[in-house]
Amino acid sequence: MTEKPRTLSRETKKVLSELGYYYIDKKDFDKAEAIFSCLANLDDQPAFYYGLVNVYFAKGDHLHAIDLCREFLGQHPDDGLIQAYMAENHIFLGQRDQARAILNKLAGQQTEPEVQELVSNLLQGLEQGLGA
Amino acid sequence: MLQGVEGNTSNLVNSLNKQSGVQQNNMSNEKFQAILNEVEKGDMSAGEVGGLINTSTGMSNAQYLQLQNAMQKQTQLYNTISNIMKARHQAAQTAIQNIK
Repeated sequence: MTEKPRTLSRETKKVLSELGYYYIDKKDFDKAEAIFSCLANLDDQPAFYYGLVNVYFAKGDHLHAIDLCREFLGQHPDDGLIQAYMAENHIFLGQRDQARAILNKLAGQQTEPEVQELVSNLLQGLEQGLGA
Repeated sequence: MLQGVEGNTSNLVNSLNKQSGVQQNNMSNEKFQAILNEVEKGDMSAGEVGGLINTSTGMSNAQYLQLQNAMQKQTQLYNTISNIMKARHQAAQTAIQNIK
């Protein structure tokens, strides 16, 4: 007998995502990673990848975060938030030029307001010496 | 309630302290208390307070200005980091709301 693939309701996915961020906040990264990995395997939605990138960022595993961003961008090349996250991880690796190139490109594009806000603040941070 | 994004603050603040270039002020608590007592005694101008600090810490005016400048830069960077954290929080919240 084969096991049926699980389906989760929208509300359940939202609550589990909130729980994932709660675990990040508590620095319980294994649980946070398990939640977002399972969600991403069940359902290929950007929010779950954002969560996973946030787990690696919070762990300080910036190389892993960048790899995941690249993988995601292979399928969703226009995703502004994942590009901003990638730039942020470059900053924390001291790769300010790579970060600036991504952010300047994003700044000239039409993206969601929250992405624009993050991009402009990261650019400002670079100007002020963040990651130097 | 979305908390994980704020959890990254320590990452940012740690790096901030490395970058600010602000030197540790070696003024002891006793010296600080003495300055505070002088200030509390009566009306003192900002210049007089500055002079008192310079005398107590052995800092020259140039060093004092340098410290002030570094502290100002650090404050600006703190504000930017705070705005980055807010923007990250907002982005994560929006992403969760958009889950299908």
